[in-house]
Amino acid sequence: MEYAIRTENLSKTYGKTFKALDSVSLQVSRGEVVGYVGPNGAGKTTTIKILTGLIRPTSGRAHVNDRDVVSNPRDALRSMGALIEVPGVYDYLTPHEMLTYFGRVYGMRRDVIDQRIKETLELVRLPDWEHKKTGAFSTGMLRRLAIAKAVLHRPDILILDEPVLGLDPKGIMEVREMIRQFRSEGMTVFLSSHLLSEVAEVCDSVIFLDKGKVVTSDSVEGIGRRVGHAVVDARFLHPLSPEEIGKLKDIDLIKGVDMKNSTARLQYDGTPETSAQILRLLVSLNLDVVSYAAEGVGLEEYYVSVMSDEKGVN
Amino acid sequence: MMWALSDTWQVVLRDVRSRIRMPVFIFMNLFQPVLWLLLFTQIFKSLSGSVAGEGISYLDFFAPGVIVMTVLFGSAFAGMSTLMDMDSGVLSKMVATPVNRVSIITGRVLANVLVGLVQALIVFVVAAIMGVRVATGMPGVLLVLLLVALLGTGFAAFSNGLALLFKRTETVMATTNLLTMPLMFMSSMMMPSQALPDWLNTVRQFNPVDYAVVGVRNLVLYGYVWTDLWKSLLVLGAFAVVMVVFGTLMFGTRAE
Repeated sequence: MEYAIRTENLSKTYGKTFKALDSVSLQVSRGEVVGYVGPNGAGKTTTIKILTGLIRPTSGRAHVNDRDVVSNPRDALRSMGALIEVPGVYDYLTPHEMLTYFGRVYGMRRDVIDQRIKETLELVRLPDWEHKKTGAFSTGMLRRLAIAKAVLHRPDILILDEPVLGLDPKGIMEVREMIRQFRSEGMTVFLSSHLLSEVAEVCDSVIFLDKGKVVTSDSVEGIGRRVGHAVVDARFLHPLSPEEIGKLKDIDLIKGVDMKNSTARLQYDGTPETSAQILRLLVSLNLDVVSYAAEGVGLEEYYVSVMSDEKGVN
Repeated sequence: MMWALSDTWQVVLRDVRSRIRMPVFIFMNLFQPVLWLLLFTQIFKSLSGSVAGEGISYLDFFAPGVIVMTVLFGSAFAGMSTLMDMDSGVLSKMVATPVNRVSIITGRVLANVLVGLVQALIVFVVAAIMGVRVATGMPGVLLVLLLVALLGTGFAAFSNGLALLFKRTETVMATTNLLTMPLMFMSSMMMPSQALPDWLNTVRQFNPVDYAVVGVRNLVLYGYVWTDLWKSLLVLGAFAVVMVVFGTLMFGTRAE
């Protein structure tokens, strides 16, 4: 089983003419966290709906763990957890009741279900809400509950459709942390998102989709190289003097410097080696570096350069 | 096969649990049939004997019809909750699991039938308190429940199929209203067949509601009229099977 998710010439046509997906072939390796990005109407949700068995493709094939999701949905979906955009919970049921149902349809034993409910609610920081009706839950809590449902049966593939949609910054950070944790546990994550910074933060590679077709598929670093540069934000203890800024600009590895208060946005070639070298040089120049973080601007620039004009990112 | 049954059972449990959490809907559905039972039997009390037959009150005659009506109303609108689940994303969450597709629809239908049977039993109790006695005793009550369960299965599956076909609350509501009232009136629910015009007696031969009414009324009033009972069981059984096939087909092709 080389790939966790694999599609071959996947197409979906609505009506007679509208092609939501047009011969999409993609591969997601085991243990990889992949961002699936594109403008509204690009076909991201259609792909996810096919992978989760919600709709059938017009033509082509979709495999999850080498199981065809159309001809063998039961086996294909068993090893997968999915967070689909809408909350989809009865507000008069409790998380315990909702998760128990899903545990049963995944064929889990009752004692295992009870144990996993406790573990997953702990993971999504809802342990005190196990027996409270979901009607009182905020958007963020519902989203976290949906994540708990998605990982309840310990899937090895997780499909997340816009997991941070409608969440406040704290909620976004929490979801980001969870995705990192899933990755560290070896889970394959297929993440559809509008937030390129989110994708750059947590994903190993990115698939760009536009008008139902795959435009590019590459690692996050690879995309940075395609753009010609990536960006790293270096924050210093104090705002830099003009002399110090001059020293930064003199570093060959840095292609451009954009100062804002005590933060320098440094353009470089996007390779991790260069990023590490730049950090060493900053330290050797006796600059007090407080933080040093790669940003997703490379993705944004690439996105703008390859996507068609008539649709824009949210 | 076993996993399909297990999946169906899980869907039934979940659906029944969610309905129990909203008991107001169970009792709302009961309001109209109980009102018919209480008011109609008083309004038409003077027809006792002349309409229903020697020594039979209009209450005795009409109560079986109200039991059928209870299940009819409860099941004919079953598709509305499917539409609500589609809109809220609950249905998507169910489909995106390994649960058998057919089980999703059959589980929902069976849960609806179970609730309908509880409602029918409540109407039975009200009727018994008002003085109705079942000629066939407890076995007859069980056969009554079987008949209305078949009717309920057919209409709940039909309603779910309709909901998936149209996917619009207004359309499903209008179509269901358009069907249930005529089906009720074009049967012997309120008047015996002898009192109905010829054309209505012809039409009711094609009305599954009438087969349920005839079957239930015989069991409550007259005892085991085997010819009618077998006919009712066969017609209602066939109706249930055809409608479950329709609902399942709609789910397979339209639940996107």
